[in-house]
Amino acid sequence: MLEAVNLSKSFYYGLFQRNKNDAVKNVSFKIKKGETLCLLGESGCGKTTAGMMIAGLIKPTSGMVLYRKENIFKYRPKELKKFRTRLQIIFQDPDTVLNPRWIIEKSLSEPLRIHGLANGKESRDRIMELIETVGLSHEHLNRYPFELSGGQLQRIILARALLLKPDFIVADEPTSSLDVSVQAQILTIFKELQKKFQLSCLFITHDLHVARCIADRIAVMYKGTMLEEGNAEDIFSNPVHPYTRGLLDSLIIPDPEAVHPLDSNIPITSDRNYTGCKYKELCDYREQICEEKEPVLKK
Amino acid sequence: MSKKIFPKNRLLIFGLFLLTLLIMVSLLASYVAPFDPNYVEVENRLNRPGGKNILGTDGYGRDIFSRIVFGARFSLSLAVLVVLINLCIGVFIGTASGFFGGAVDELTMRLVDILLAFPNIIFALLVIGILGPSIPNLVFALVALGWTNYARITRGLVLSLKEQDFIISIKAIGGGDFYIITRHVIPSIIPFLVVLATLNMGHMIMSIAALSFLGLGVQIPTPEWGSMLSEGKQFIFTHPHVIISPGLAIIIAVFAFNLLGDGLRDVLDPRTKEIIKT
Ligand SMILES: Nc1ncnc2c1ncn2[C@@H]1O[C@H](COP(=O)(O)OP(=O)(O)O)[C@@H](O)[C@H]1O
Ligand SMILES: [Mg+2]
Repeated sequence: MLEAVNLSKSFYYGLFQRNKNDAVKNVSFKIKKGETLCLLGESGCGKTTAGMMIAGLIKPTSGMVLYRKENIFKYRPKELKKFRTRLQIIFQDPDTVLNPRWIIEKSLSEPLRIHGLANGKESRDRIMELIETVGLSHEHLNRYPFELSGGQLQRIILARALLLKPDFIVADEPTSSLDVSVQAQILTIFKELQKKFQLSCLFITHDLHVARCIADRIAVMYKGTMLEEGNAEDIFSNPVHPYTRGLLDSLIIPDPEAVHPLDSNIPITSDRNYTGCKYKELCDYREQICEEKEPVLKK
Repeated sequence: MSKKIFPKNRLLIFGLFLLTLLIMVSLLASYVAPFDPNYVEVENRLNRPGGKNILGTDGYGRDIFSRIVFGARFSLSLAVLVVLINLCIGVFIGTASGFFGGAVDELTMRLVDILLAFPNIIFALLVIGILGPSIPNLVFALVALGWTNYARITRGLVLSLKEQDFIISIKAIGGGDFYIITRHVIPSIIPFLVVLATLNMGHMIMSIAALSFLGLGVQIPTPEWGSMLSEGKQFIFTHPHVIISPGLAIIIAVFAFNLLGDGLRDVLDPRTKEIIKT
């Protein structure tokens, strides 16, 4: 249904754009209908950048995104607008996603207005139906975003995403800015909605618990590259890459003394002279070849 | 929240009061002024303030109070015109530059940098010197440079706004550029623009008066504060009342706009303070 093919994105910065940061490098995956692929990785490894490319919000430096076999970056404006109803993205921080000057109802009806899909009573009915599905009520519609909690806002944003009846959701750490107790609620609602509306999903997270709860398949990212991809059960029971193993060990044995791979302070290597495997400094299986060549993920 | 701060801000209230007075006076000039501002009565030249001419008469025996009242109408409407044109041009260019970026942005911002290097009034002098003194040329001279500040500030605001999640999320639900700009970007920067325009009003009133004083703006005998000063300057030692009143009128008007601008800046949005500096 959706496929990323050799997606790469480099950001250039500094004087005369001299410095290059490979935020995402050669990432490929496929997501089938109704399936959830979890993009797992520590903060700064390029998950958001990858998600934004999948949603067509950032142009990749190279590679492409195929939605129903069509390259979304080759869409004409009309097709792109149509695509925007099919795929929705949910951002990490719900406090910043709605126009702070608009009441919730106005923000909620906005997608329908933009696409000329419904107005007046029809629009209100659809909003009411969805708002109840996510566990809120009409009382919340006349409030401003700052009057609601993060959990409530994330529900509103979920409702807004579903208003256009999409079949694909990119969820960029939708729970990571929420309290732990609220996280579970939102995750449960998310799973219910996904089932109810048969949504395919790219779910981005740095949290193994969340990944375990929601993923059909898991792709592990590290410093912009994809290390490993497979069925969630296989990855959890039999991780192949040493990085993934490290991650899982830290989950099973809560040892405060152990070096947690996610907290590692190895500098991000955006340096263009850097060669070899990005994980080599931390790896127990380091060999000569790790210094020379960057490994390529094989199917 | 702003409702709580409002009554506390006495300076803002005072500025608002002065401004309302100014606007009322200019709107109702024909009712407020006791005499025709251009009626010459030579036998009543240079009357001291008091009596039937509250602020006295000028060198031609015209009633100074009436001239100041009509001058308010003139100065205000001209300044409003200039500020509105500046605002429209500046916001249009600044939004386009900030939102779309690219070569157009580079080009316009270099132009803005160059124009901002000129002192305002000297540039206006130059323009009028070339085109000749008239009201349209005065407006043109003040607009030629005036839009740049709006453009620069608008561009900065738009640049930071377009990276924000709520703008990106509207793009993600299918809102086009025009929709995003008109419904979200411009409304979000209006508080900043209101403050900027208010402060700019004071500035423009001053510039118009200064150019008229130099005989490059509004021409005599039109009642205008700057040209009144100009006409009265020969009496500065013998009959100072002739220039004190129009001088005070300019100061009060500028003061009113600055008070209001500063007050609004604090009330509307604390962030405006960092972005718009006088
Ligand atoms: N707009 C941008 N300009 C420059 N660098 C960026 C930009 N967005 C992200 N990056 C860089 O790309 C890398 C990946 O960032 P991101 O995708 O946000 O990671 P994650 O979501 O996994 O935390 C980081 O090093 C970040 O600094
Ligand atoms: Mg992120």
